[in-house]
This record gives sequence, structure tokens and C-alpha cells, in this order.
Amino acid sequence: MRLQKVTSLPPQAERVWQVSIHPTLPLVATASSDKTARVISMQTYNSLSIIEGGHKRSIRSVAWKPGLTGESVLCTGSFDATIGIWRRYEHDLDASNSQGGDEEEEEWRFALVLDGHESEVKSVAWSAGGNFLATCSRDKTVWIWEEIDEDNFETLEVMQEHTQDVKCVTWHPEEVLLASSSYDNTIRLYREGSEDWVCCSLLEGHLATVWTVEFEKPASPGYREEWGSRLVSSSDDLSVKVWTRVSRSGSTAEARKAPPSILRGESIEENWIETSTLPRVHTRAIYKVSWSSKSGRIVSCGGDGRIVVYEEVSAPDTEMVENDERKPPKTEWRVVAEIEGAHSVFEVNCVQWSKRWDKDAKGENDEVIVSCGDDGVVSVWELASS
Amino acid sequence: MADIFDPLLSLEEDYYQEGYAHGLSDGEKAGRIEGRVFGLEKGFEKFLELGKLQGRCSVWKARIKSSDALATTSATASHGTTGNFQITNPRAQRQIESLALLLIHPPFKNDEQSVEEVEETLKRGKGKGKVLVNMLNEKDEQSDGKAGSAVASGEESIEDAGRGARGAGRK
Repeated sequence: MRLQKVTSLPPQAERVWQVSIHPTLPLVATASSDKTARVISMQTYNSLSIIEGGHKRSIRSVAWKPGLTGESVLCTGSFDATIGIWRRYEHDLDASNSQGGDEEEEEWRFALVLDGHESEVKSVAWSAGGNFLATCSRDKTVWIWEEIDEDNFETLEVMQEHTQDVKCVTWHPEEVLLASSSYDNTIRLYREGSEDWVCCSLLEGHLATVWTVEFEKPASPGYREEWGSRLVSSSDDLSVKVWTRVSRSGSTAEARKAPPSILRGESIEENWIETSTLPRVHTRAIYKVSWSSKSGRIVSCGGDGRIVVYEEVSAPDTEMVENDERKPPKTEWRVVAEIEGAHSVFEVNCVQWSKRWDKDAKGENDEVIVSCGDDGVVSVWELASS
Repeated sequence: MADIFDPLLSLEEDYYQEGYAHGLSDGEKAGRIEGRVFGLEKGFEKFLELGKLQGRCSVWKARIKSSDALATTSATASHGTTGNFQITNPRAQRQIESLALLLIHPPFKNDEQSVEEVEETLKRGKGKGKVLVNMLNEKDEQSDGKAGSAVASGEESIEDAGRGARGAGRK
């Protein structure tokens, strides 16, 4: 199989940092150094809106709020240490309706700015239900916000567990569990305790900055109910790792072990282990990984200009039985497609799987890869058989 | 006879040892002084922060205490807490209580465990402080005129002069 370009959008003036696919509609949002966010149609690949005026510096991250109908809410995280919330009321957009991006009827409204971070915001993420918003920053903190009324966000928690710049935050697709990764080479998981949010797990294994973490979606073919969603991470150490939870959290046996303390709260530790390291292909930092919910494949991109697609080699579901504790199986992955120079000589900052909405889509399960890079270009790729 | 001149043979070694001993004792003294100064500096910094937090916390705590009479009048006031002397937001109240609890009796000893505990307390305390500052709109020690949403909170920069504070969706 090989990666074939479907199209490239006309380049923007400055680098595009991130793309975010809308959970239900055929839209993708992009975040750029030119302080704008853009909304692009996934059906025509035309630019639909340019969202500007809210930030004083580059927009580093952008995320769609899930679970809404009739309205779209976009969150932007910027290097100016603020987070913007933007709203737009959608007319009923069904597949046949949103033709041609030329008619711009709705305006994006700058609803709210959230400040509090002391330095550049690196990543923003909405929880699966859309009720929590997590943000992280170079100031080493992870903030959790909750929308209590329309346009009224409250800071729930400020967590400074990482010892360095936090690069990415992402939520579990089903549980209220947050993951963050950092320049300090670790990944941390957080849960809401009885009073506060606490760090319930620390994943160490990478030898350098962990740029991205993402959870497996339950719809993905490789998902196993007993282990729950796995976590994939990519790092400066040129590796992509998959982590699986060993014990379900909140077991009462665990909770009784450690003595209660004001500082620690109750013990809701989780135990995650590394179950795969994907084959090494990238020669420079791997900035982003994305796990497809349709095919279960993982795509990665990095500073070496490559986009690589991996597939899990289905191993028989053997578990290693050790000490009465069933451990998740280690799995193997192999490379199915790779392309160099995806954005000519520039670094590729982000890749995401997306459902395919354009005219060449072959059915409901067809998907494409959207990528963006330092060349200011957003490209769309398909996996074609050689 | 030979005994008197023996020291001459080990002259270099003797002077070396003498210098070494002097250096060692001077070094010990200087090191100890430097260490104490450093320790005092750092200890002061950390506990100064803790103290500030405790101070803010006491003020916040005092603001929670409300008599019933005041409570009924404040119910009719606007939903924001800016300009309100009292803190009626129950979440804020909970955060303040837990912050107060956290700051009770920080250990003043100098062993590993206490130092770690102080660090941890400080970290969590600062985090809670930030949450409360945000909740109560006390950023930059000035309260906004608008509670909650802050659309016009100084997002204007010279480049945006022509566009207006509310971002528009033009192509």
C-alpha cells in the first residue's frame, strides 16, 4: 500500500500547527502561526471561514467541542497564554446541503477568553462528553475547566505534576480520564477524586520529550473490552509506544493499601504498562500520532518530513498469566505505507485520520489522513494499494 | 646528630600537609557558612510563599462567613462575585476550605521528608490559589467590571483596530 495525495490546500502565509477533525460534521479546523484558525470543508476542501482577531500570537491548538447539535464550538489555544472559545450557529448541515464554501452565512463569534496560564498554551482538549476542557502549557501546568453556564467557564483544577513544559493533553473516549505528556519524558494520567483531580498514573519509558498522546477509540478493530482503550504516544526519542492498563482503577484492594493523607487523597492508582513499540522509521522527532477508529491503523508524522502508517499484526489473543494477574498481551505492529517529503523540505506538525466525505469516498468506512506542516499547507492523503 | 636534620628531607611533604590542613579547615568553615546562607535564603523564599498563601486564604475564608441577613440580600445581586465582599459560590467555598486544610502546620524541620512535604504543599497550594483567583476574578489584583466572560478584556492590539473585538467569520 502507499500514501497518495488527494489534494493540498493553497499554502497559508505561515506554518500550520494543528488540524482538528469535527466529531460529526465534514469540517476540519486548522491552527496557524498567523494567529488565525480556519475552518475547511472536508467535502470540497475549500476554506469556509477564517477565525481571527482573538489572539495576539500564534494559535497552537484547536479543538471542536463534541456532542453538540445545531451549534459548533471551537476552542483555540494560543502562544499568548490565552484560550479562546468561539461559537457558530449551524443551519442544518447534512451532506447535500453544504456545497460550495462561497456562501458564508454564519459568523464565528468570539465568545470568551480564558486566561490563567503563565506562558504558551500547547494543547487544548475537550472531554468525550464535552463537559470538561483541558489545557496545558509551557508553564508546566495542566488546567481543567468546566462550562457551568453559557460562556461561563470555571477553573476546576490547576495541576502541576510535570516538571517541564507540557506538550499535549487528551481525554479518554469513555471514562473521565485525562492524559498529558511532557518535555520531562513522562506521561501522566489524571482522574477526578472525591475532592480534587489527582494524578493516578505515571508512565515512564520514553527517553525524550513525549510530543503526543492519544487514546484508542472503542470503535477501532484492535480494541479489546477487557483492557479498555489503549494509549499511543510519540516522542523525540524516535519511537511510538502503545500502553495498556493492567488493572482497572478504583479497586478497593488498592485503595486500602496506602494510608490516607491530606496531600495524597485517596489512592486511585492505575497501573499501565508498555505493550508495544512500533517499528522505528522516523529519523527525527515524531510530532503527532493518530489512531484510526475505522481501521485501527496508526499514522505518525515528524520532523523528518515523513508520514508513516502502521498496522497491528493480529496476534492470537494470548495473555501472559503471571502471579494470578492477567497481563495485557504485547502486540506487534508493521509499517504499511510511508512517504517522505510529505511537505517538501518542511516538518510535518500534525496528522489526523478523518472519515472521507469527498466525492471519491468509497462508503461509510473510507478514511483519509489530513496533515499540515511548516510550509503552511494542509494536505489530504489516501491509502492506495500499490 | 642526624635527627636534627631529618625534617629537612621531608620539607616539601610537610609544607604540603600544612597547606592542605589549612585549606581543609578554611574550606569547611566557608562551606558551612555558604550552606547556611543558602539554606536560609531558600527556606525564607519557600515559607514566604506559604505565608502569603495562608494570608490570602484567611482573607478568603473570612469572606465566606455570612450572616443570614446578608445572604438573602446577596441572593438578589448579580451572579458575578466581583465587587461582592462575600464569596457565595459553593465551589469556591469548598476550594478555600481545602486550601486552608492543606496549609495547616507545614513542617519546619529540615529533613528529607519534611522538605518534600513542604514542596508538595506549596505546589498544590499554588495550584488551588490559581483556581481560586480565576474563580473569584482576582487576576492582576483588579476585578473586572464583567463577571465571567471577558470579551473586551484588553484583547485589542493595534493590529486589530479595524476589526472589532468580536472575531468575525469573513473569508
